[in-house]
Amino acid sequence: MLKKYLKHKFIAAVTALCVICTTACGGGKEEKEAGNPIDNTGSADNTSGNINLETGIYTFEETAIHQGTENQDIITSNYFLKDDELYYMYYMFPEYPEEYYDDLKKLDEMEMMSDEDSGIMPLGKDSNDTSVDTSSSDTGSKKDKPDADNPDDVSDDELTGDLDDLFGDSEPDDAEATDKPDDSKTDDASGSDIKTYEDLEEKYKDYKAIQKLCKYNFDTKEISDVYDFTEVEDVQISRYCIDDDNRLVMLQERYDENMKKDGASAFKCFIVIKDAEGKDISNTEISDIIIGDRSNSSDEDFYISESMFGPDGYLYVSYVLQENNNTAISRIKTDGTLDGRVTVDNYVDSMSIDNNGKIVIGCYNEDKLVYSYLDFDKETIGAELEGLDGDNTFVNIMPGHGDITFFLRDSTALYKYNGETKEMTMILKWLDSGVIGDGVEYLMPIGDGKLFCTYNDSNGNSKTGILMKSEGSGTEKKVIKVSSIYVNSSLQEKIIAFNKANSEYKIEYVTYETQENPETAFANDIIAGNIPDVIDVSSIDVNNYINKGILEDLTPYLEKDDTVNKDFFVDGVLNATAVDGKTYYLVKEFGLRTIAGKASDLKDYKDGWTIQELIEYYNSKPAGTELSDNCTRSSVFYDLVCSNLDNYIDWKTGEVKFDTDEFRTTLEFCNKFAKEYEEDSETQVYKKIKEGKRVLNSIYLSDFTNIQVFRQLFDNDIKYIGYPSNDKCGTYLSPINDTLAMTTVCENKDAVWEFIKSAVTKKDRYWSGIPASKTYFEDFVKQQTATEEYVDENGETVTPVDGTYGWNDFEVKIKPSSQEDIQFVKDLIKKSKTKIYNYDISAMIEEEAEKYFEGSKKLDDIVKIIQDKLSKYVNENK
Amino acid sequence: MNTRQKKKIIEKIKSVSFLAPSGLGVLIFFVLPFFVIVYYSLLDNPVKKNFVGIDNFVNVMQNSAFQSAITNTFVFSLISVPLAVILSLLLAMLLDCKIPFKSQFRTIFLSPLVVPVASIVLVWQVIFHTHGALNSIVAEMGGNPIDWLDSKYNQLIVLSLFLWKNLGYNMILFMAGLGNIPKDLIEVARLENANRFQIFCKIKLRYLSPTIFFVTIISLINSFKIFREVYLLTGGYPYGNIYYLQHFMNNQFEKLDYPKISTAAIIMCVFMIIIIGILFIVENRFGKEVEE
Repeated sequence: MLKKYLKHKFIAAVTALCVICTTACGGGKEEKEAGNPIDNTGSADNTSGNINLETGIYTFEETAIHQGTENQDIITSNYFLKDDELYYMYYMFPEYPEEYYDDLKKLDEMEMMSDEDSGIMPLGKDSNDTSVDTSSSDTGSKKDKPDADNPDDVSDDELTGDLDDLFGDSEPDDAEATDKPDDSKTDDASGSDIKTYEDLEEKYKDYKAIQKLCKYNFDTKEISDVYDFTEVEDVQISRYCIDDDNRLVMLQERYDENMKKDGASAFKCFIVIKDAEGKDISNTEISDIIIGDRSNSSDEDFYISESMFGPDGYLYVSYVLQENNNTAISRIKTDGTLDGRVTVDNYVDSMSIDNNGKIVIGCYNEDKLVYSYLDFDKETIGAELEGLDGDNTFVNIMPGHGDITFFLRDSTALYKYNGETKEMTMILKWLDSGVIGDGVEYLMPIGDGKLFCTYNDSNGNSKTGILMKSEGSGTEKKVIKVSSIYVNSSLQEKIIAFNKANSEYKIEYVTYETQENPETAFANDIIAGNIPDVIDVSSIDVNNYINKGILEDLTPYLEKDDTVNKDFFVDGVLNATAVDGKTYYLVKEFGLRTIAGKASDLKDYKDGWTIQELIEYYNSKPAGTELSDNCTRSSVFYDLVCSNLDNYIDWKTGEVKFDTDEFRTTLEFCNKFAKEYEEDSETQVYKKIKEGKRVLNSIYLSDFTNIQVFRQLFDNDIKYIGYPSNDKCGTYLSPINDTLAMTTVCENKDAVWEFIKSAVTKKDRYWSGIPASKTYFEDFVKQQTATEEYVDENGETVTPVDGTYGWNDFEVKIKPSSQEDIQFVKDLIKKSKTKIYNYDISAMIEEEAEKYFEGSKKLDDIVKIIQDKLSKYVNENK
Repeated sequence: MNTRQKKKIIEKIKSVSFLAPSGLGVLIFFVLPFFVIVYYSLLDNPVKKNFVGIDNFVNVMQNSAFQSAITNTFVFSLISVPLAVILSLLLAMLLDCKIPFKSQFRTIFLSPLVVPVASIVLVWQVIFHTHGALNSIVAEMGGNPIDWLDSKYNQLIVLSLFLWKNLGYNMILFMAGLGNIPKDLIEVARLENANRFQIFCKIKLRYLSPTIFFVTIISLINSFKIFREVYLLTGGYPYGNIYYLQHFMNNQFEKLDYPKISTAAIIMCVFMIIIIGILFIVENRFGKEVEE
């Protein structure tokens, strides 16, 4: 399951690279100009006339073009329309035989065994070279270390090993025949022939990913192949179009290390033209044409941000210089000659073609997004277009058609711009149409007021379908307003699902992401009385809103409900998130943050420790010992003081205890650490801990297998001591994704409760953290403890956890979790609490502390100042 | 109704209609918001809007931060306003004499009026910062640098800022007031062997009483407005006794605590009414003779 998730993440990244093809090369004029391989643009209903896209409610109907399912590793991308047919690129990953995975596993083990100093723990061995019982199956898949700040992200930088290892366990695909070699040619997978990854690649070279250009007819709903690129290796087709002679014109990007010479880049671009039979007509390199002299540049200096074929027969390519984000857009003929270049002294946010084939760009001018045409003849940028909302930082331009000069979209709505009247009009709201707006990749009118649209859902899955205006249900639905500071795709999906299922209520989603100061804008709305019914509290100071009586106490709802009640949640979750014993928001999934050290070293500290105890412990270590990972004075100060404000502030009495010896000692302690952390690349993390050069490590648990990693990091001698605090409760529960609360002013409380319930009970395909629901928690436990493959209740095949995990020099084999590990996490959840973090107080204290750290003020002065300022703050708000 | 009465009514209608736009503006931008503030001061929070009577007033009056803020504000006003009045009067009297470069001095004293607040704050920061000009001089003289704005001297700095900013305007007002004193009265006094002090106390001060009253009120209002510069210099929670009433109110705004702000504003308004009422009585007593 996890491997498929990773695969889809990678697919989404690849898809993002294949930027949406414009409609420029879609339809054609009835008469083409002689010698012009590419005719003017046209949508399915051609260039002129009203394409009938009026403002209203649209519904999204998914189409059945080669969509990937749970067990098929297919992606479709790079769409364009021509003559009522939709062309697209189709990718399917290779279907390796089982012996491939055996060979891969053996290779992985050989590599681990060969590096004695790396701290890599070989399968079945601990640090004393003693065999450890394991029962993993061998599929050779890998898993990323979760990013503690962004647990949703899988950091591609953390991937180790050959990328093919990620997909080596893909399930056989039933729908499509793959390019399989004759079995008689396959060597016996004894492993003796496979010494390196190159040998592996050579042995299975006949297994290829399928790449094809296909087309789909909207009327007949038939799919047919146009071109097969399976045999074309190391090539990325960034853009293409098909002209009226049915010639395929492509922009190909190729990377070949052998092409590098004299330090020049190995990244090359070509215009390739094939005839209707697939034979090459021309193959022209245009790398130097795109950006000019690149003799002093490398691949890291620039990147191509956008490219498209215009109806005028030109290829437009924009590239960005990394050093200053300046952009240049080149206009290139299909014979490879440059025909103009416009340089923009700002970052070009988006580029597209209008209904007359002119290039329009959106770029920043003094923090304001402005839109202009490009004039390649004069090589200048035209005047700013009027009538466009330049303050909206999330608007993308999309190609124009018919009487619509071009489209614009942001995360909430789709707009059309009329260049003659200089008016921007909203056509539809994404959420009302059942589409996640910030995942929209491609949009094209296909006549009769319909739009072909593709978007990515919150799991990175691509959805394709048609948007068409709906008649409406007839009855007006009651509106429930949901707000979040920042756009939340996962929440949008839940809103779409609720709106589809509910005939009485409709949710409107409001975010403040595009405001200059989103938190302040949200607060101003609250004061003005514009209070939503539901708030996503993940980005607000929830305690402040609770104190102001804005958030509803959900405890009575939990007590009355049959489904989502106190028994619904894993033990400890509600306690950890409660404020004064009451529940104000529900958590769907979470991570656990704590600190661990060597058990043998921490045996004097039974159940946690205070700040003073940590200081004494560290001071007993030799000079130069690292306290923890990425340890700086500000990070230590944050963990000891800003995360433990309850140690210093009594909100009830207004007593502030910064003018104490304890705080002075803490400040002096923090001042021992450096301002910036310098990674010691010579000494490896595992070795540092083993030799006592680092005593603690921060821990983030988002699933049960993480425990195996940290256990190995500490050589099976680990104690989860927790962050220091006066109550010795140093494990924090960190909610992930949708954390929803109801407001006290909401009128339709029952309906809002139903929505919050649906958000909490909806099962996501992949978990970003530990599920808060008992049922899903047990499912998660079953997945992570499975030692054999099984089929779950949704018909999905679940394979046992197996892979390697780590970062930099440290790597460990992951196997299914034990019941002891599961119980350990359960116990940790029960002991956890939610971190009380006050941004205002922390900012004030950190600002003053920094003056002490820099030496500009004495300790006593700083303590006096902090005591004075915080007394005022606390007394204002007690 | 006779013609005269009709004329009167028409006159009244005309005057009311000419006054109406201004009156409407005052109503919308001053009177109505005042009643809105009174309304909010009687609620528990802007969301639930439950009536709580005078609980907010009791809570605010008992709040130690409010007490500290109001004390600091009035102490500052008590010191700065008399200083502003006396020093500007002395300056006006000095510039009223025949001294060279009189108009240049006048320009110098008036120039702080036209300098934007942000520039003033910047200059003060340059002077009083830990690495600022004043500390350079102190270091040259062998002393230790002080972060003036985070020290016990910060009140002096704020006071100097206030006086530097407002002396010029007050001085101009006093110069105008001095110019309106009848010269013949002073001549008669001199002829009757009155000395300068007697002339000043018996004649000039009495004639200046309306101006003194006006300057006092203006200075009092400006002493409250010093919050702006202090906020830019030191933020929402300054060290020591430069934490004023407006700090308290401004900080509550960010916490969405509308009832607290409204309550504090009404309490401040009541105090101001009392103070200005006292000033009116005093002015009325001393300035009666002048008016007569």
